[in-house]
Amino acid sequence: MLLTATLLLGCAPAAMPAQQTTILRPDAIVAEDGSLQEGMAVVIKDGKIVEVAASPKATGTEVQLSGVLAPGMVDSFTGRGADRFLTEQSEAATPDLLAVDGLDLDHPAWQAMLERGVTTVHITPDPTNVLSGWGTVVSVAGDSRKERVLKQTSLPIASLLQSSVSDNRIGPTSMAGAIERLNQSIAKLGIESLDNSAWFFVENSEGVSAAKEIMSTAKTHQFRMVLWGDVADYGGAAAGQLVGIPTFGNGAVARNVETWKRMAKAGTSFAFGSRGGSGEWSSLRISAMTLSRFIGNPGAAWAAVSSNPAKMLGMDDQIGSLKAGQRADLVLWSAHPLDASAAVQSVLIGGNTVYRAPAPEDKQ
Amino acid sequence: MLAAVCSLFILFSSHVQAQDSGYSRTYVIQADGAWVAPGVHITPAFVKVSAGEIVWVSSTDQRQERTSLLGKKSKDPLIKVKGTLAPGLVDAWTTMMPTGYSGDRNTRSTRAVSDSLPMQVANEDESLVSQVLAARQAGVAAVFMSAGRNGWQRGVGTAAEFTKLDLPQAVGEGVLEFAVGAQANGGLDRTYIIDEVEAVFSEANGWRDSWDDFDEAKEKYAKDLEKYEEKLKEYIEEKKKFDEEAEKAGAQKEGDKKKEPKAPKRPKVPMEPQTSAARDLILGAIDGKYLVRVHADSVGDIRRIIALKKEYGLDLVIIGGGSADLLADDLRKASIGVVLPLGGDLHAAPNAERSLAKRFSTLVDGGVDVALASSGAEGLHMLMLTRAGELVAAGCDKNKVWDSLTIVPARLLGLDGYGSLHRGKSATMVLFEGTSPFDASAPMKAHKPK
Repeated sequence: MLLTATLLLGCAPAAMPAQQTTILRPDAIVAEDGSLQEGMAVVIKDGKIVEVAASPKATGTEVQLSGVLAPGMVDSFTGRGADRFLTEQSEAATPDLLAVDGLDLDHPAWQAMLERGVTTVHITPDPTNVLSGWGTVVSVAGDSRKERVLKQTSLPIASLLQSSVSDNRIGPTSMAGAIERLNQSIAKLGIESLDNSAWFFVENSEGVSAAKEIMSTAKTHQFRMVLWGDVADYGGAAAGQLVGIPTFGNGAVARNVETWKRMAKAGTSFAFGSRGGSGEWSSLRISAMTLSRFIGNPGAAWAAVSSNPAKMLGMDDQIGSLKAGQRADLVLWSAHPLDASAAVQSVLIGGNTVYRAPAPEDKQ
Repeated sequence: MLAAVCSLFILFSSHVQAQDSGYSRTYVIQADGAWVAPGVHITPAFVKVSAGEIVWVSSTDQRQERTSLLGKKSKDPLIKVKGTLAPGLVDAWTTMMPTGYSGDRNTRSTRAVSDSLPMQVANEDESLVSQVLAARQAGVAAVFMSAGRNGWQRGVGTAAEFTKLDLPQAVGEGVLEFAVGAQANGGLDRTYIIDEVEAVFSEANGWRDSWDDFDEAKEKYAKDLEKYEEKLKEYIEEKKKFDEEAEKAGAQKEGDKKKEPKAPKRPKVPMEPQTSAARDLILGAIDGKYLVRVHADSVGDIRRIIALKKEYGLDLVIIGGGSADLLADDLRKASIGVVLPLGGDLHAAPNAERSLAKRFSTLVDGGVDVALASSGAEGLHMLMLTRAGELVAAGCDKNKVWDSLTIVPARLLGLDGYGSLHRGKSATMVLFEGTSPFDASAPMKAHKPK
């Protein structure tokens, strides 16, 4: 997949080593607030963005790009790219499962994600047990495993979904039992192990309060919720927070238009993940466009697939926006990525061109 | 003779006459621009709306000053908005259904969606109203309410527009629908295969022929009756004579008696062919009164549908049309339109050659009328523009994609009042601020007439 470590993006005249300073001049960039900014240059060096400015101080090879340059999208929680079901098989809520162990770097999903402008994913275990295991953050392309795996173990994923707490093969049979087990395993592991912000998959207000209760015993109360199921029933509990939500499927979203509107109004911000959501490859972008229409706020919708997932993962200093210090994971689009008629032109990961769209067919 | 048959038709819905949608106000909208019709884009745009309909569209303010009886001068109110106005979407295939209606597996079904539509009472059908609101928010101005979802075979759907109270209101005659493809398969151990559709048409035609036989029989009966009456007269005479003679010869021997005359047989009155509401619908379709929609996907089914259209001269549209692109030329020659569903992952089709973008382009380039529809999945209204925009991203012509969401479905549904911003068309419009209605990086609103 990685044919070359050279910059072949847009109309770059010649190959050049990635460690050199390159000044990319696209027609426009997508700023963190989702708006288009024209006349901006993005300077990349050693696989990172070093400067974003109209007239950068840095000197280097200038490359004119025809299109809109945006940060690569980030999938907040997914099962894509893993070679097996990431299922916790033990009966007790033990933290045996590391998503990174199930990583399949040759999975066809990577190419599919790349072609749709996704550059980073957070692979989580299946929510089949109350303490599902640890996630892993992976770059969609790169030369080696070391380059690809950005975070071996991201954070623990606890699940208070009804399906996780009532599975009688493994795990307890009620929410109360699930909470007890979770508390036991946390006590056993030491609450410190959860310090780096645990994630809770919840689907009702019972799960939300249980998550809050469990985390109240931790020294740091930093935890994130991923809202599954019918958010209309309990979404109020997430007012003002940054929450994960599964990508929108075709069905049932219409009834929730009002729910998403109200949640946005209550200051809730969103990060999309494809696990438990639509099975489509392009679901991340489609969901962002749909959210934009639902809440009438394109900026917040764009954040849900770029900077917000990065924040959820505590990696907003590395991925999710066009800022100095970030990884040079960039996607060149033919128009704003939330314009449905825009297509991916090329993708850079760590400053290297890893994908170029085939030339459009000659339609006479 | 045909006229006699036609007069037997039963109107299955009574609301074909224009109804009041409840819009009443008159005003002028000033926007940055307008997509008036295919290829007609103006900047800026002034659109006069009255009672929910467009009165005029111009790039200059055409308002005229009026003087009231009291000498006060006034003009129509002007509403200034940001963005570009465009006609509201026409969704040629939804499964929006009244709560009181459900699809029917009966192949003789005459159930009409329009008969179950709520009257002009708010809150009568909350589920339906919420679907209309969602559709409205997505910029949809008119829909086709299909008679079935999964596992249905036949029904009468209807095109519908939305009233001020957000209720769907049937427009035009009902539409005769059949499902022969995947739509018919859901959960059924038998499907309404194309054979049966052909059979109902052929039966209806045959029934019509049986009226010819009936007429012949009637003529014959009239002649026979004349003959019978003559014979009857003769008989009466003879009988009279016989009786008189018999009386005179009362004492005569039995053996001398004359043979008694026999009464003639009265001819049988011929039976009228039996009518049926189900057949009347088919006959209505054959007479061009009702549009026919057939949900079909396979090449075999579509071929036979083309033949059916030709044989009976039907006004026919194919819904689904999974393989329609393979028969683009035949469809164009037969003037059959196709409604394609906007669903699935466009870029991850198992075979890229069969992706929606490819199929759409093949049909459109082949001269076939193609509408893109939400195909009913609840919530897909909100995704219609996104999905359609993806076709543009995949290389389809932007204007043709837009037409397939507006003017083409309006034409295929016979919705004369939709699809463009010309005089007399619906003022339910979309107002987009981005580069096109497909651009979700900028706000888009739906304009509901006041």
